[in-house]
Amino acid sequence: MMSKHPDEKISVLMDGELEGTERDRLIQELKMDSQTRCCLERYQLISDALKKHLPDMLGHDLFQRVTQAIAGEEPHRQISLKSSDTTHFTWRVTGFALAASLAALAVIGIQWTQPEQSLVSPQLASTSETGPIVADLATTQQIPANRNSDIQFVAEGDAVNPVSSAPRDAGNNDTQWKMEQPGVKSRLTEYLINHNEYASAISVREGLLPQVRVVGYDPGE
Amino acid sequence: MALGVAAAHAADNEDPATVWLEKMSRSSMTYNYKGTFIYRRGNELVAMNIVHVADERGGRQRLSALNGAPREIIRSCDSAVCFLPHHKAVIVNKQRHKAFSVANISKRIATLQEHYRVSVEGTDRVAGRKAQMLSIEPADHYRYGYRVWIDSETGLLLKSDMRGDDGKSVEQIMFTNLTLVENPTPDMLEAVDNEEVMRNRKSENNLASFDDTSDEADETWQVEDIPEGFKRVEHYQHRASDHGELIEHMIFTDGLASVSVFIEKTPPGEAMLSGVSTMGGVNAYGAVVADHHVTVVGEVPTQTVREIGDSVHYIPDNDH
Repeated sequence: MMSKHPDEKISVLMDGELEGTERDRLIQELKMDSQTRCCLERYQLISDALKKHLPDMLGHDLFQRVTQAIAGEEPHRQISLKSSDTTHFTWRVTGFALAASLAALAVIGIQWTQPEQSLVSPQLASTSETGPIVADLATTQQIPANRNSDIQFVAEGDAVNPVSSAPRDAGNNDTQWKMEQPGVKSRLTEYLINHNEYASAISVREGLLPQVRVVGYDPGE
Repeated sequence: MALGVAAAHAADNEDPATVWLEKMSRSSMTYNYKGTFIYRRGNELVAMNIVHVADERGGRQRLSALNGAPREIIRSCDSAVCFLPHHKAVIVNKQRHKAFSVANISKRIATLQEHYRVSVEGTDRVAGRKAQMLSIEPADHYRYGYRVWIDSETGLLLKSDMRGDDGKSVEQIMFTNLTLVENPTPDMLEAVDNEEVMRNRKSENNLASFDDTSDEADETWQVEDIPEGFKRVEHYQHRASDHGELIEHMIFTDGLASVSVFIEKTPPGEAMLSGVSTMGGVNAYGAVVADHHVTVVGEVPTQTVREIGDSVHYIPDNDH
């Protein structure tokens, strides 16, 4: 199974083509395979942005359950998957398969009024590190036109690079605390949590959701 | 809750920008909602889920990251518990904390407008909702500017763009969907209930707890030269659960941006921050002063945390 391309593995899981021990084994393998896990996260991010335009068959809590399963928690059995022949791999233009296929095409720069400051920055859109994972699929799927869509599209071959999906640019450290010692990072994070909680009451910043900076920081990366 | 209540009813002579800022500030204490938004910092994107309840118990909130390692924070008026991977749970108890008060909003906004130029821009649409755009331009390079998109109906923040001195975006938030409810549903109430979580966690060792033990300032520590516009508004002492030492905590604000100064006795053998560290819109600066470690943290430019950190001095009692 793990000889498959990472997106294939996720598709197999998401499309419900596994059950029983085979499914459990894949989940265990996902736990050990950071690349595939990042791929799964990327699909989820795209799905979040797209979900108003995806079929209802995509359960809103599916990712959470899979993530919990990957984290070694209980809900393996809660994932409702159906039996299928996994040796004959086909992509389906539904659910996560669609989200995956859009990865190389869709930029979730949602109604950004200033193009030069789009949610996905130009340098981000041109990053190629994550592109190959899905780029070969992008040409085979059609995206339904939707005049009201919040989605903007970039040139084929450009890639989306959401958090935790690719190795960090060593020259661009301003998204993480700049030090190697875990103890220093932890202490800074604790200070930041305190700062947010205490400072919110004395300014108008509460309305700006300052806590996103804590939750948005993944110290494990 | 008053869904459908029109935007703030400004007096004829009241600045529209002020009205919108006030409306945004009040909204977090007024509405029950849940939604999903995207947070961008540098080249990173994080999708997050938010559940917010505002009832007779005050504002409570649960914020969860949807990608990457599981991370979330559950907040109430007097406490917050934060779960991060590879990290102890962090609990902040704010028994002595001065809770956010609606009564002071107008004063805070007036303070803010001494150091920022706030102007109303056009309207836009975010997460399917009509939004009013505001520009908040700083008066100098000691603070960041913002563009914010405020929900026309409720005043809730739908999108924000923090900008640096060079005009480039530092970090952005944007809702992709927002659901308002008249009364919080049982699952929303359960989601924001951190008391049970805290009860369980307090019996464990895997937490870092910060209890405010005193709100009396230890005036042996002074920040002498702070950038214009920032004023010290709070001074607490926390006792850290891991080493038991008191941590001085001073908070400075210009009405919008805020900066915390933490001072603790340098733990022997423990690595501490030295110099500047940046994480998106947050900067931190660390230095050793009189055998203590000073750490400055705030959503302000590097220069601001550095200048504040370098102006921290220890003044022994007999020098008073």
